Amino acid sequence: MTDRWTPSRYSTIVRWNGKGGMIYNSFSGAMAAFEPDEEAEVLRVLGKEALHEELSGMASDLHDAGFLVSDETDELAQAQKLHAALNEAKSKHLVIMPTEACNFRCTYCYQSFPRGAMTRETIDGLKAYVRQAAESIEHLAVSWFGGEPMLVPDTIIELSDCFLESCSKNGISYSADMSTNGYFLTKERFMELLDRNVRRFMVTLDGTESIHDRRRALRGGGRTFEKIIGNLKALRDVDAAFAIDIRINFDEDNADEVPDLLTKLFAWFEGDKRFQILVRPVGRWGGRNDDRIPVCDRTASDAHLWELTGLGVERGLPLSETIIDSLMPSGAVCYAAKPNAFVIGADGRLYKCSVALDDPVNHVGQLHADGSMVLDTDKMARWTGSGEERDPVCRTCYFRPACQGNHCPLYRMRTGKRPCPHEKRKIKQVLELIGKTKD
Amino acid sequence: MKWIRPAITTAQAVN
Repeated sequence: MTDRWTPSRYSTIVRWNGKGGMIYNSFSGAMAAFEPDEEAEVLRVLGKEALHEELSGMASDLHDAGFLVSDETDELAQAQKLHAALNEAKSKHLVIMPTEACNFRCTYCYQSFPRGAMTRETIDGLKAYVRQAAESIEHLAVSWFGGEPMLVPDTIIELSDCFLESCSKNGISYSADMSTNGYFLTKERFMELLDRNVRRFMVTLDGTESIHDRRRALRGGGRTFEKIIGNLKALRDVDAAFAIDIRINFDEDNADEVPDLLTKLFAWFEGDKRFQILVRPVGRWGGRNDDRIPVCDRTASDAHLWELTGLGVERGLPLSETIIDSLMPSGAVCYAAKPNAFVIGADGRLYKCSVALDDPVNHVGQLHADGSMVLDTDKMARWTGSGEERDPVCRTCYFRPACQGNHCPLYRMRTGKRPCPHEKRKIKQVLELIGKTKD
Repeated sequence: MKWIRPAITTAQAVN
């Protein structure tokens, strides 16, 4: 048994000027806040010098949580194994587009809506695929996406019931989430979805009413804010476990108006931790309006992103659990890079990325009515093999276990630049916000 | 020390 210990290369320590701080390890996913009177011991145990002692007390706890490792541990090899484990995953993640139509026409949308509702052939194919897949996995995760998925609630219910039956029959777990504009998310519909394990929702509000309605109008014009917020308010008295990420997309057009929205959100959802905020910068995602979107440059995006998120947390709104999840080992790896994940179009076309829907390199295969998938393995490899295995800088990064160089393979393909997650670039600020949210 | 997230294994992380 070794008695020489060294701090893990994947640890981050944040100190709050004598008021304690936070520690986080991207390989183990462990995260903790320490008190001012614990700071000296944290710094001693996780300092630059190796420890030669039998571990006890806090040192033993920090070792158990992965912050302190034997000096014989090959942490780079451990990270490589984590990355390789995605190839052996006993789970599947399906991002399903039950329709590619949408009742909104948001100014910055990247989709071109060439197809409508999912075909019967594809619905049958999905059912057959899941029936077969459920026999050899331990977990199925489904993300309902679109288009606007709630345009076709009957399809979602039909597929969900089939998925639940297949998972139950094989004794495996099933979870689901949904990205929806919220316009049709009535309490009645919401309860139907909760009954089918859809527990996390992402609904976008881009500012107070006039700002939001200018950016996220109905197809053909028409206001949407009042309807969405009415639906969300109606969910406050639902007695069930769920989470709603209120996503706020910002660019130069609305960034200054977001604080007003945060104030209102707190007034509406004060004390209900199920309503959480997720602020994201708008990008030029490939849509027809790209040239006209006043996107923030990267420096301004980073600054606004955490400044606005911080304002929300200060006002008492919880930070989205999605952000905390993204700090976990493999938590920031995009599904586009995971071998066990697919985006499934309404016509059964298989994609890796949910943004570059018109890019031929993203057309990786086809789902057929009998549940078989025909895949182009060369195209698949472009998405799954472009991360840490090809980037030596990623391999030495403290955040490697979380993102594996694969946070956004599309960004790397299009720009040739490293797709470092927003959270990694401002990790100390993010940990501080998590600490405040969890107080 | 207040633990916000416990350590998880590689299998848990992936599955």
